[in-house]
Amino acid sequence: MISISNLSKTYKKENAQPVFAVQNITLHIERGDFTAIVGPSGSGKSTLMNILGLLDVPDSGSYQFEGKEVSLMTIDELADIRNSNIGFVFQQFHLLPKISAKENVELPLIYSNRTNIGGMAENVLAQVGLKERMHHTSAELSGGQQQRVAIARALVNDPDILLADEPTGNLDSESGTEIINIFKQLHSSGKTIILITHDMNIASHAQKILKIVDGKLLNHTAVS
Amino acid sequence: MVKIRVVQSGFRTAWTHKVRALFMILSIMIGIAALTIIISLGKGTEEKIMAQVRKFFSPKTVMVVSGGGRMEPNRPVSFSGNLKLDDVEEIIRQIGDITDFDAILPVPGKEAQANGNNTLVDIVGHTPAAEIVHNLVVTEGRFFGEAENRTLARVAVITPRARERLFGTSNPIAQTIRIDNVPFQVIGVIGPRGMDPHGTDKDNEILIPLNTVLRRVANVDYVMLAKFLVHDERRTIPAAEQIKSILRERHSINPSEENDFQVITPVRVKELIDNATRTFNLYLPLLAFVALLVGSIVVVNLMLISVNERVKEIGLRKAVGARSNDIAVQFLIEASSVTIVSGAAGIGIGILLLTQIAKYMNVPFTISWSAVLICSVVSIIIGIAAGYFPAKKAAGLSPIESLR
Repeated sequence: MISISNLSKTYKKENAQPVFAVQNITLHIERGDFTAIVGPSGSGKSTLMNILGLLDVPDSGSYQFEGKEVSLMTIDELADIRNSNIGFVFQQFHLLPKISAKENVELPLIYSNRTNIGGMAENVLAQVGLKERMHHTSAELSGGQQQRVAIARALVNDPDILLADEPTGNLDSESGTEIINIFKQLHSSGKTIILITHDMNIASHAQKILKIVDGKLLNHTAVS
Repeated sequence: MVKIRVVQSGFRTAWTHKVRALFMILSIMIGIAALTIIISLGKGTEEKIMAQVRKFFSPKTVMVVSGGGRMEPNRPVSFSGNLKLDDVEEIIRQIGDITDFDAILPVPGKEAQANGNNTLVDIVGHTPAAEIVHNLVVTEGRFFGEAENRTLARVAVITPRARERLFGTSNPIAQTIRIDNVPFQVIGVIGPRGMDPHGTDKDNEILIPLNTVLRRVANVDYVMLAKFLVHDERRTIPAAEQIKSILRERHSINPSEENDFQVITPVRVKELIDNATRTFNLYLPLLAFVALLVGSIVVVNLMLISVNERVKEIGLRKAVGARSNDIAVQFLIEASSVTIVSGAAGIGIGILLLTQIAKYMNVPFTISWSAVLICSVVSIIIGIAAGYFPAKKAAGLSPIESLR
């Protein structure tokens, strides 16, 4: 599903040394995988996630998404894939504060080509156990509930892949466990999940753990 | 292709930031309301002036006024006293198609006494045809005739205010008025005419046969002005040219000298009115337009601030699949929906205020639909212009930079 080879990204700033965010990374993710990418702060894991999620482009190397070379795609084609094939879950939730949970979940549908979208937001909110609170704004929800709304938003277009960047980073352990359980359920229902974290305990829930240090992928660890 | 859901989202989001929307509405609404009021008021004022002028100056009229100069603001006319009755008669003789004429000599501020009352009135000498030339409506008695003019009869036709001041509610017909101790018999009363375009109260006049005024009241041999009615309004311009050459010849004016009279046609009157209403029709709308321009700059600024405040939102929208074009459309719709609503509110408030201002200024309430159209188009243009730069900026943001 995702095939990356010799991928590198360097950030250059004026009057500063270049930062090699990711270097010569090669990895393959198959449909239905639950992969954790683990690394300390500044290791390049977020840069890798942004590239995997088509939010950023590499300087060199090859990235094939569903067999198609990403570097040959237009900006609009990348936006369309983000809309229909990828769901994002961020550490800071990134919910819009002035609108309700349901309206937040509906955001990806605005840009989708689907014709019949009625009831989709309610269904995914029910899936994450928040149907009763769908008319509440994010200020009226707890951190765990906000992250569940964010997961519902990531799921609403029924994407193949869920990309989660430190999804439990801003949550207490109880809420964190709830979120991880949701990811495990989604994985068992066939979703491909890529989880970025610095926490080995969280990563241990994945099938496969990839360690990244100083922008380089160290080894693959298979978790039974 | 613009997605309908993006447009709907733009309309919804425009009103989620209520304080921003309120200030945007205020900044455009005030300018649009001012523009609606000023243009409509200008039209109403012009209609009022035109209605007044039509009352005193029909489209078939050519008027000759004694004295040089031009009848324009700040350019006083010098009344030279050299327009004689002979001149008027010669004009009628040479221009064959004059249907009626009136030669006029006003003598303002004369003391009149009757019935134990006295008041200051304007004495105006008219020829008998004045009744037709000025569309006078005789409400009681009759107007004076040619015989009375020829024989210098001491007869008077009075106007409503002069009647009220001198006779109260009693019947004035056949009563005597003394003007400078000369007795005049009242033979008629005419209906109200209001103010003339120069601000003279036409309802405080006493009308007397012209020859009587020339010999018995003013003791002069000239008139101040003469009005001629031609049989066809297309004849006014050629008739005016003929009158000029007749009078220049009779007054022995050299080619290098200016006229010692003025000839006024309906076209010239329209020019004078256009000059007088230029402030309303050009300068004030220009001022309101500047206010609108300032309002639009405020909208652009508020929209730019909005883009800066909503960088994370833009990043998120892009992350979940918004194309750059979708973001641009959203910001354009947000700006233009607010400005269109502002425009509609401005037009509504403008019309509402206009009803009161028109009443206060005693101007007919007229909605200038061209003003409404201009304001609607201007609000849409402002919306698009105000949304364009912020939309371009928002569309160009990188999703990853925005989300950081």
